[in-house]
Amino acid sequence: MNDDQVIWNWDHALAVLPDMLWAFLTVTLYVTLLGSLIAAVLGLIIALARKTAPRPIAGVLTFVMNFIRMTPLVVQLLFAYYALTAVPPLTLGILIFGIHYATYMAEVYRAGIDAVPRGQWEATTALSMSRGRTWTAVIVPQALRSTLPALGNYVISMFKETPFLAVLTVTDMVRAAQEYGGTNFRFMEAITMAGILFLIASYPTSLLIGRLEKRLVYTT
Amino acid sequence: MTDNIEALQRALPHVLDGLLITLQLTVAGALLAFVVAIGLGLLVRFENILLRGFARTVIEVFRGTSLLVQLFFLFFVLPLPPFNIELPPLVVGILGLGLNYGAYGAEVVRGSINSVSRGQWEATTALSLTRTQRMWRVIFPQAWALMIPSLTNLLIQLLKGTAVVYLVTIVDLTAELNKLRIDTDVFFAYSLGLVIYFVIAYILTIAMNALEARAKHRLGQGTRLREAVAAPTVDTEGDVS
Amino acid sequence: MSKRKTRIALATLGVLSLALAGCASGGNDGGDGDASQNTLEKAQESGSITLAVASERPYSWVEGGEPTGATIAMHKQIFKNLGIDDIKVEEVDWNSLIPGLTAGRWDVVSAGMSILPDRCEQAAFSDPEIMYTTTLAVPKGNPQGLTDLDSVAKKGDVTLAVQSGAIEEGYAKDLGISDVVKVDSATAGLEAVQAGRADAFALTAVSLNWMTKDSDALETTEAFVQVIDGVEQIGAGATVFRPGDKELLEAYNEELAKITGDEQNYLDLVEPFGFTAENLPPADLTTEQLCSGDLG
Repeated sequence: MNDDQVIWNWDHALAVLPDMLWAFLTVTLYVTLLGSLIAAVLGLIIALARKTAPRPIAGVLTFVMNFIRMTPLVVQLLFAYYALTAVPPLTLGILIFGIHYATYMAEVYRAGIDAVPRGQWEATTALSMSRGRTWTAVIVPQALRSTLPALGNYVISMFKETPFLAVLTVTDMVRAAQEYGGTNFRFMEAITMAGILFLIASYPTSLLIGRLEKRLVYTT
Repeated sequence: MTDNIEALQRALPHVLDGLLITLQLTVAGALLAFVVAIGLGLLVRFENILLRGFARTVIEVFRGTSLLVQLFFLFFVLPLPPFNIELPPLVVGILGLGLNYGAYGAEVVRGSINSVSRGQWEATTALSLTRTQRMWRVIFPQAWALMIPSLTNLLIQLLKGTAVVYLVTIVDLTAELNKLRIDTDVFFAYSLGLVIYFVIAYILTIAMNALEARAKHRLGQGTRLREAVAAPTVDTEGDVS
Repeated sequence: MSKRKTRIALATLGVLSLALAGCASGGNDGGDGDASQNTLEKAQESGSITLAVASERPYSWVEGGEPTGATIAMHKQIFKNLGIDDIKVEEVDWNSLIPGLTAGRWDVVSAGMSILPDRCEQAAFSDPEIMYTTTLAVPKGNPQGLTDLDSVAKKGDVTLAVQSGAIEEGYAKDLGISDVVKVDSATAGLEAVQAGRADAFALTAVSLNWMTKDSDALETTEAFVQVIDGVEQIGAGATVFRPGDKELLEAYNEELAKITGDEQNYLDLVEPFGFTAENLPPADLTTEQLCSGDLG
């Protein structure tokens, strides 16, 4: 079909790198880090609220949390983009990613809290500790330990879902590849480079998380 | 509000078409992912370094790159030389979803098989069972019951993942929602869409929980139906993702 | 035991049948049939050809399930004359047009794409079909008092929306406009200005005038021809083919010449979409000229 087209053109592969690396730093990494921060903190708040708030409120919170967790991030992003027009797209992306992943984290925290041995709770009663102190000094630190690998995994997961930011017209790595393809009419090198960059970033990180997991399991 | 309802009525055939596509993608993608997960999950446990290495590479490549990159690659790059494989868009979607989530599933399968207590393995040796019998009759059924919760999570992820296929010209539910947005308004279209996805996700979850209850039953570890109907939970490893 | 085997067999059959259903419904676009046939012959034999559009009114878009627009009108006539009656249309975002063409997802890009030297290296443009000028869509009342892209560059703190990959994006870069929002489609660009995410949207005059004519919220500035470094950027749009489809390109150009050579025929096709005789390309303007960058 295309006899005059080469299979792989290194010039294009290299030419697309600057834009992609720029997108990587200013968008992909940025959104992943801030989004994860929001997810980790908000998730903890949600988990604690579900455990300590009165039943009806906790019930509503649980429902909303599940609703967000079980529906597509893409649709949530589209919804936010067209509804909240005053918010800049990048901020919107960070917020929605943060909230979406907070619902995952809330479940992980819940499992972590449930995994704290009954004995700990009983000990705090025996020591007449207030509820506040029980939570902050005893339960949460133990629950957090086991959730660190999970947080790590979700950070990687968020990192790989950043291409969805393209629906907000934010130029992440994949969209940078698309734009290169749109202007220069060569897409093959661009998208392959994007894939390679993803792999380079996520594979070592997941190995690290695996190591971390093994170490934590040992010390718990 | 009534204008929106009217517009919805007019668009209903298209929305239902989109919904059908989403369901097709989910079910077919899930089946493919399941096959891939079992296949890779078992392959990666072989002694042979070539087989193990192959499986490990496939798993890491599909886990390490983004679903969107994979879809774009399958859609735009595969038809070009040197591959020259042109697949219809729907197949691209199913393949992308199946391979991506299958790779994650492989980890779940591997982990579950490893979780089956050592005693079981030893017992099979004591009973002189062949390797196939060991896996098929003893280990896998127990691993199966263990892996269902994580697979359920992956299934929901897959369902959510289908929302991105509209970028490779597949007219799924999200693509229809985007069109509906133009005729009605943002809130109506996307709220409706989120509710539909939620309902599908909930039904899938209940189905998978029932499956788990049955699997446990057959192993003599029954659970009550009430627990089976709860929303899926995530364990401390936060596996899947 | 046999129950389990039956289940496995059923499951495998299920997966296979779904896969086959996917293949069947997607149609056989692969290199099936006679591999020695070129695209033109294949299209003529099957009587159908697939076009891609970027939903840019009034060039080409899909309304109520039917493709319509100025370039669609021209294409319907041209392909009919070539014996291809069935026009299939894929609506995609602008950036996917060429990658999809190269990948064989569609055979023709019908979006009035500008002929630019860089693009000519990778794709085959037909002879010029539509001359166009640029304009800006701004909020009603033109609060920023913008006239053209130079005024945007001069003003400094204006957010400009451009269609990603389109020629206006290049203009903005050349003029040093840094505050740019890149959108996927013409509709998205207008939505951006309406929502206040951008102060202006730059696109062809024909498109923006058509799309804002009934709008209460938006208006357009006067059309202009962008000047970069003293050279007038003559905008000519054409249809795009794969470089390898030489027969298709030749046949297309032959039929196209019949339309562009006859002003009345041209106007009959494009006037309903807001085009005028001014949009008809001058007879001496060639694709080679535009590809080599010779805009004088």
